[in-house]
Amino acid sequence: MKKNQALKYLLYLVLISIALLTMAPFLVSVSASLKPAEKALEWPPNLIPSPFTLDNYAKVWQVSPFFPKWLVNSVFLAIVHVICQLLFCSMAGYAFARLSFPGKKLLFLATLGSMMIPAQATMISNYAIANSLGWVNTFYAVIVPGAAGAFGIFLMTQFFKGIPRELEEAAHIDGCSRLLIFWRIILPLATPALGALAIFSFQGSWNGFMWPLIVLNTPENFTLPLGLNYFRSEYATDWALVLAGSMFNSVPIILIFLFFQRYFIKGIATTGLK
Amino acid sequence: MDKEATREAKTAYLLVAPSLIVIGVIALFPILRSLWMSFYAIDLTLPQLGRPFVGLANYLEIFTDSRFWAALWNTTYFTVISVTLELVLGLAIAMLVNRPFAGRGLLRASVLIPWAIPTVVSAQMWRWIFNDKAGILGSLLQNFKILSEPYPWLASVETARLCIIAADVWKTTPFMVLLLLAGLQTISPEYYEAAMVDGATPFRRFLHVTLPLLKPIILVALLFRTLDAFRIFDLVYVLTGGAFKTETLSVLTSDVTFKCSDYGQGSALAVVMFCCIMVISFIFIKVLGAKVEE
Repeated sequence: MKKNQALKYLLYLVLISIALLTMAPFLVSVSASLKPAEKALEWPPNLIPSPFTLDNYAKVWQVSPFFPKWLVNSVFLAIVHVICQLLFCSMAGYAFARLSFPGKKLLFLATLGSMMIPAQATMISNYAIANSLGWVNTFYAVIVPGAAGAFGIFLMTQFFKGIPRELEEAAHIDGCSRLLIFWRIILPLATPALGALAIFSFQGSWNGFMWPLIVLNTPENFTLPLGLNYFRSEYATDWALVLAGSMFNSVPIILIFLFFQRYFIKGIATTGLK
Repeated sequence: MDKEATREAKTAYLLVAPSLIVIGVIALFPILRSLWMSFYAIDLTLPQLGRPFVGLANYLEIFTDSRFWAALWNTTYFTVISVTLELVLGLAIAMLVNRPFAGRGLLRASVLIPWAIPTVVSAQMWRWIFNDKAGILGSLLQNFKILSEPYPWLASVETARLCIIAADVWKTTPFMVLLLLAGLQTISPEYYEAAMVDGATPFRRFLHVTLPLLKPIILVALLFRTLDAFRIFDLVYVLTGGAFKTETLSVLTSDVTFKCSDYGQGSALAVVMFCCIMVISFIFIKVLGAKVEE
C-alpha cells in the first residue's frame, strides 16, 4: 500500500513537470505581455507581473488601425476553410470508402501522394495560377487551395469504412439515391470525425503563414499571423507589445481546444486510423 | 445492373471532383511541371540565355555537389532524431494522460498548447530562449554556475542542430500525443484485465498488450511525422537560416529557387526531394506494413 502511495506521488511529480515544461514558454509570454515594456525582459523573470498592466493589449489596438480587420479576416477565413473541408473531404471520403468507380485506386493513391510534395515545388506554380486568375491579394487565393486536403480525405475515408454497410443498404433498397443516403444517413453518423477534422482545419487555417504571406500583400487583407509578423518587424524591440499581440493569435485556438478536446480525441479514436 | 454501376460511378466522380480538382491544381500539376522544368536551364537572372534543354545536367550537378549531400545528411539526421524522440516522449505522455487522475482535462490541454501556438510565435520564442545575450537558456545555466560565459547556441556547429531538434520536439510531440492517445482509447480495458489476472507486470503488459494493439496507429503516426519532418522549413529558416550545418533539403531548394533564381536546378531538387519522400513512404507502407490503404 505504501509503495502504491509513493508511486502515485511520483506519477504526479512527473505529470506536473511535463505540464510545466510544455506550458512554461507560454506562461512566461503571458506574464511578459502583462508587464510594462521595460520590465518584460527582467532577469530573473517574475511570473506574477508587478506592476500589472493591460497597456500592451490596449496599445495593440491603437498602434495599427488594421488590427480589428486582421482578427475579422482570420476568423472569416478559418470559418470558410472549416466549412469547405468538412463538405468536400467528407464527400470524397464517402466515394473512396463506399462507391466503386473506374480509377478509384489510382485517384486515392494520387491523393495520398500529394502529401509527399515539398512546398517549394508548388509555390511558384500556384502563384503563377493565382496571378493569371487575378486572385493575388484576394481571399480566393487563400480559400481555394485550402478548401480540401489529402489528410482530411484520408481521415474521412477511414471513418466511413468503419460504418456498417447494412445501415445504408436498407435505405438503398427503399429507393434512396446515393447522395440522399450520404446526406441523411452517413453524415449525421460521422459527427465525431467531422469534429476532429473541423479542429484540424481550423488550426491549419488559423496558423497558416507561408502561402498567405505570398499572396496577400496589403495590410487590410492580412490575417493575424501576417499582422504579427508585420508587428514584429515594426516594433522589434518592444517584446511586451509583440507578445500581447501574439496572445490574440494563441488564445482563441487554445480556448477552442479546451472546449472541444473530449470530443476531439474521441473523434480521432473512432476514425480508427489503422 | 450495368446502368446502376454507371450511375454509381457518376455519383462518385461528382463527389470526388471538388477535392481532386483542388489537389490536382495545387499539388499534382506543380510537381509534374517541376519535373518538366528540371530538364531545362531556367535562370531568371540571365533571361538572354533563354530556356535551353539540358537533359540530366541539373541532376548531375546536384549529385556532384557536396552541398546537396550535406543537406541530405542534415535532413536525415534531423528526421530520425526528432521523430524518434517525439515517438518515445509522445507514447510516454499519452500513456500517462490516459490514466484517470484529478485535473486530467487541464493537463491534456496544457500538453497540447505547443501545437496550438502559431509557428511564427513559437519560432520567435525559441529564438529568444536561445539568444546568447538575453536568452533564458544561457541566463539559467549561468545562474546555476554551469556555464561561465554566454554561449552562441544557434551560431555554433555543435549546438545549432540540437536547438532546432529541441524546438521541433517541443512543438510536434503534442501531435504525436494526440494520435497515440486516440489509439489508446480504442484498446478495450478487458485486455489489461485479462493480463492482470495472468499476473503480468506493468512492463510486460506494455510490451505484450499496449504495443501490439497500438502498432497500426504508431505506424501511421510515424509515417505522417516522418513525411512532415523530412520537409522541415520554417523552424530552420527562422532559427539559423540554414547556417552552421543545419541546412535541410527544403531550405536548400528554397535558396536555389528563390535566392539564386535558378528555377531549373530548384525544380530538379524538388523532384529529388519528392523521390526521397516516396521511398520513405514505400518503406513504411510495404516493409513495416502500415495499412494506409485498407
